[in-house]
Amino acid sequence: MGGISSKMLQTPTGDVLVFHDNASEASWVDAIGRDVRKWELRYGSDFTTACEYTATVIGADSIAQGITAGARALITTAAVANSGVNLQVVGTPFQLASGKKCYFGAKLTFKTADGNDFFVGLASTDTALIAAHAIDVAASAVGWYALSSTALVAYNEIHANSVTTTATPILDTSAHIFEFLYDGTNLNFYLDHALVAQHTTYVPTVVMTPSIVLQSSAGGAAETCSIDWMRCIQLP
Amino acid sequence: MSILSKFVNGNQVYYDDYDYRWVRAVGPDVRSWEMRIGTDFTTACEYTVTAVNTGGGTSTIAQGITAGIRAIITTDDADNDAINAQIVGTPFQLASGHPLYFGWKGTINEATQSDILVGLATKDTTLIAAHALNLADDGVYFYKLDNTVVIYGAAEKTGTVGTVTCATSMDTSAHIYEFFYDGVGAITYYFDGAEVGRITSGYPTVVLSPSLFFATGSAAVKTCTTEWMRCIQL
Repeated sequence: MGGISSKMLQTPTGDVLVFHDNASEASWVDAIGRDVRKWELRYGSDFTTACEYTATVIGADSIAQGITAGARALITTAAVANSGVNLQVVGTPFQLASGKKCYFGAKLTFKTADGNDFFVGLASTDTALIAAHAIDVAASAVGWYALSSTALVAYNEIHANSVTTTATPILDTSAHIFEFLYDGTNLNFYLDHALVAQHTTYVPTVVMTPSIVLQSSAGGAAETCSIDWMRCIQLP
Repeated sequence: MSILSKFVNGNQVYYDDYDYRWVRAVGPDVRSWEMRIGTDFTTACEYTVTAVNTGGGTSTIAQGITAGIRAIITTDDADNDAINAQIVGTPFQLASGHPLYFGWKGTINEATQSDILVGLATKDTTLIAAHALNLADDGVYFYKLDNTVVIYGAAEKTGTVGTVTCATSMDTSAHIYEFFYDGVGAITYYFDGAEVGRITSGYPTVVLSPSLFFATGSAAVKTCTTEWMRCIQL
């Protein structure tokens, strides 16, 4: 089913018009309201300076505008294990807070199904969200990851206390949509628009920023991650 | 309160609370700018930023680290230290038949010992100097000067300033400053949704840019945060 629909959601400071994919009411694509906070990876993003993103590059890796139509960014790792890119939006514009719904989503395509370590979601400022093929978040994060395997994990963490759910579909080289919706209380994780899990504990409350990490797990060949879109929308 | 929409000049305009408070417009020729999350303040690519630093540090404008803050200005610690920020280019121009909305939601941490100007202005790196308006040319804006808490809405053309006065004094809470040009002959100013007054003559018709100026009015660091800032013209 294609197309979009819209709905009016009430917030403490007034209503917001939320547009969502017809495939899922949890798949927000836009929101209109005076105090809506919205970030979206834009065409023409500046990855080459530290102005928009803090990019921590390990090895001869890169993140650049995609040259394939529709790809807003392409991360390419070196052919060395653990080399990769840790990318975060400058600033920490989002914070999960009671009653304030927050959506995060990304559409990603990987070159290989199990040759990567990746994380995508919101995280506190951190230049090494993954290290040595393991999640290495210093403070808080919420999102999706896979670590040198095809197992896709929905995850949230507060200072090493985490909750995880492994999704049934396994990672392959097709495009997939990774999303979560904070409903004002709990975290609901979606893979390709299907609800995977609801996490009710260790929901981060600190300020966070949109983040993505790709690292080569085995080396030997350069890995890539193409980002079709990535966005975060929070209601006031 | 709800988000409603209407057609204006063939464009779909979304508004909330008040029909002047435009939050989005969709149309082939809509001119819309909004300070975005992830803005680049550190090069001259998006903004022309002029810092006044006469104290012991540096005046800065940066992404907020508090959630929801799109920009925070932190002045240096000498009187008149400031940030003057303007969008690169001059994308807006008041013209008959082309209504325009401008809005800013922000907070300053010092009500009296500070200068602030927010709105549209011609290219200018010192919109305020020595606690006085200092636009070389034109603008439509709100301002407040040092040693007072009186907020004015203003329209300036070739150095002549017309003003309306807010009934509410400046404080350190977040407020919404807005003006609406009707495309006919009036600019109406609003403070937190209440009409402040209207200016019907002496407003500029040259090209203008979204602008923000903030200065400390004493030998101490002051801050100014922006939750959102947008301008929409049809």
